[in-house]
Amino acid sequence: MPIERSYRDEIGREREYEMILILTPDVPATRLKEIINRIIETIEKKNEGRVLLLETWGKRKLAYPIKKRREGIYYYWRIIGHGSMVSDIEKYLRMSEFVLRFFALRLEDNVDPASRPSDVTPEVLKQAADLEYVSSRGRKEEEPVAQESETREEAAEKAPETAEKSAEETTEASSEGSDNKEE
Amino acid sequence: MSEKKRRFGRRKVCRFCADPTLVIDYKNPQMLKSFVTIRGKIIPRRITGTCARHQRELTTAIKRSRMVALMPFTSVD
Ligand SMILES: [Zn+2]
Repeated sequence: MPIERSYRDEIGREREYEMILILTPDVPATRLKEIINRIIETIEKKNEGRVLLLETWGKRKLAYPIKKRREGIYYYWRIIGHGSMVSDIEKYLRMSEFVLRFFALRLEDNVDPASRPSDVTPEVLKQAADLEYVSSRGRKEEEPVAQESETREEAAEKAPETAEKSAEETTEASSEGSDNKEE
Repeated sequence: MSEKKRRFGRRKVCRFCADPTLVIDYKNPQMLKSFVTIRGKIIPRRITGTCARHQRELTTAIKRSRMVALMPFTSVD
């Protein structure tokens, strides 16, 4: 059969994703602009999609070092578009030395784009690409959460966690795959 | 055993069943942190009292949270 068509490919229907992008804290302003604009272009032009939400979380402490960095610049996106959108973005980001992590989660298939109005303004997109703005967004070092650690630690040691595989992740592109044991 | 050891049985009801407004979200590590040990290990549900369904959601959320470096992986010494 030459043509395979699933409900996912229904005409006029799109997929909705959320993504977290983490960039190195030392990304130069020009490269930052390039990366953000390229992602938006990939969504809008190449995949006829839209950015539904873009939050610039800014600089945050990483829970474990990635590429020797202890901090990263975080972005949270919600987007809709064609199914190839995320892999297109991923392909591009994989080449960048300033990307610490790219994580995408498929929220829904078969979305009617009309049902997803976006309140993202050009200003929001512009700010996300602007290093000065991005740098002003960082949040202070998070306080380690107080834990009743002894109890929990002790308890957990007696019954090791069961590893459950979560299969929903569509893409967990990470530029390194071996940092599981760090820190 | 007349009394269960209290330190293991602080919460016997699933917190999420008890309060449906609580959302399990991998983007909220502050909340997820109370379900892992200090070393980052997921606490079994028989300790926390979480029901099977919500434990599954928690596990997924914690794993995602780790992928985006909002929570640490388990440190093995
Ligand atoms: Zn429950």
